[in-house]
Amino acid sequence: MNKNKRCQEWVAEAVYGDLPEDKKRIFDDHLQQCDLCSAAYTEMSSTLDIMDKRRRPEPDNSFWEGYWDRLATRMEAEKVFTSQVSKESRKTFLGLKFFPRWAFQAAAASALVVVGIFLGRVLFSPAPQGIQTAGIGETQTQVAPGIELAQRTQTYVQRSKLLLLGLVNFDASEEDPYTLDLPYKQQASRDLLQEAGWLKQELGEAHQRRLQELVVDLEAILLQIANLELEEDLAAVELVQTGVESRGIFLKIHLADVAGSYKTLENTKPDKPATDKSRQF
Amino acid sequence: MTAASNRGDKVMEENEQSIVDRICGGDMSAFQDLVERHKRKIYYLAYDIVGDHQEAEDVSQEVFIKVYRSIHKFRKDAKMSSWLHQITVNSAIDVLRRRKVRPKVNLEDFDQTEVHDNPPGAGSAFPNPEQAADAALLQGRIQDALHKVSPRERTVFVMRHYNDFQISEIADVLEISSGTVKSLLFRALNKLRKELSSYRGNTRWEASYE
Ligand SMILES: [Zn+2]
Repeated sequence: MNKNKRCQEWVAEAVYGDLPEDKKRIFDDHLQQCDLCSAAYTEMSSTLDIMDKRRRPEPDNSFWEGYWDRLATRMEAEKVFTSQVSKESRKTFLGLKFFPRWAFQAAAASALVVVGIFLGRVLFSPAPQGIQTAGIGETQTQVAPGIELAQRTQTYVQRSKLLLLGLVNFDASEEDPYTLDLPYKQQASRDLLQEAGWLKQELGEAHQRRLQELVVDLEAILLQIANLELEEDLAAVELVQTGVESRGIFLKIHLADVAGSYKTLENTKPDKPATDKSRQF
Repeated sequence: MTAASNRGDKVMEENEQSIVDRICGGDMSAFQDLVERHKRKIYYLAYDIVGDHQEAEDVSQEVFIKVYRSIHKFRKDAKMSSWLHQITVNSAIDVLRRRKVRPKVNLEDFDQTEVHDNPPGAGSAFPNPEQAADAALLQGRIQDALHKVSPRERTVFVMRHYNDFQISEIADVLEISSGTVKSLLFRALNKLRKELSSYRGNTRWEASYE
C-alpha cells in the first residue's frame, strides 16, 4: 500500500476516534513530522464540527403513527400481500375478504394509539387479547364464539372511530383536502360496511342490542363516506361531520367501552347456542 | 462491548429469527412488528442519502416491500438490520441515479424543523432575524456541500457521521472492503473540507495527497 493511501485511511479513522490504540500511537507520532497529515487531520476535524450543525428535518408524530397504514395501503394497491398468502391462511378469515380483516386488526392497534391522543386513556377499557396480536396464520376457529364476535365488533368500532376521527378533525380552512386521502377512506369504509353486514346479523342473534345499534349507527355514517362525491369533497366532509355529531357517535362508542359491552359479549358461554343470551340484558 | 449488550444482541437476533419465521408463515402482525422496529432508522438513512422527505418515505416503503416479497430468501445466518440497510442504500442510490440531477435542498423541510423545535409560545431559537438568516444560510451550505459529494462517498459519510455505522458495518452493508470504505470516507471528508473552507475561516491547507 502506498504511504499516501495509508495516511488517508488513518486520517479518516482518526477523526472519528476509530484508530485502535497501537495505530493511534504511530499516527500521533506521524502527525508531528508530516505537515500534510497534520493539516488534513485538523481541517477535517473542524469540517466535521460544521457538519454536526446540520439539522435533519424531523417528521412529526403523525407521520410515524400513520407510517404503517400508508405502507399497508400501498402494499395492498400494489397487490404485494395477495402474492404471499397461501390459500390455507385465507380460509381462516371466515369468508371475509383477505385485506379488510387484517387491516382492521392492524389499524385497531394503531387506532388505540391515535385515539388515545384525542380522547385520553380514560375512555378505553383494555382491548381483548388477540386484537393486536391475531395474525394471518392463526386460526380463529378454536376461539369461543362470544370472544370472536366481541373482538370483531370492537375491531370494527375502533377502526370506524379512527376513520371518523380523521374526518371530524379535518379543518378545511387550514389543511389541504389531499391529506384526507378520501379514496383510501372510502375503500376502508366499503370494507367496514361488509363487516357491518355480518356483525349486525350476528349481534342480533346474540341479543346484543346496544352493540348492534352502535354498529348500525356507524354503518349509516360509513355509507355516507363510501358514497362521497370526490369533486365536492369539502362539502361532503362537512356532511359527515354533522352526521357524526347529530348521532352522538363518539359518545356511543365511549359508552360501549366504559359499559364493558365487549366484555359482556366475550363472557358468553361458548358451549351455549348464540341465540340463548337474552338474560344478559 | 459488554457481556450484557452481547446477550441483548443475542436475544434480539433470536427475536428477529422468530419474526422472520412468522412472516414466512403469513403472520401480518409479525411483519408490522418488523416495520415498527426498523422504520425510523431506514427512513433517516434514506433521507440522508436522497435529501428529500417524500422520496425518503418512498424509499423506506420500497425497502419493506422488497423485504416482504423476498423474506423467504433471508439467510438464517445473516443479520436482518444489515439486509435492510443494504436494500435501503441500494434503493436510495437508485433514486439518485434516476434523478440524475443534484438532490434538492428542500427549504420547506427546514421550515418544518423550525416549527417542531419551537412549539407555539416557546419563542424562536434565534433571538434576531440576522442570526436566523445566518443559520438558514449555513444549513443551505452544508446541504450543498453534502450533495457535491458522489452518491457512494455521501452514502459512506452519512452512514458513519449521522447514522452511527462503524466502518466494518458499512463494509458489510455495501459489500466492499474496510479499506475501500475508509478511502471513500476520506474522499467525502476531503470534498466537504474544500466546500466548507470559507466557513472554517482557514484555507491554509492547499497541498493534497493526490
Ligand atoms: Zn502523513
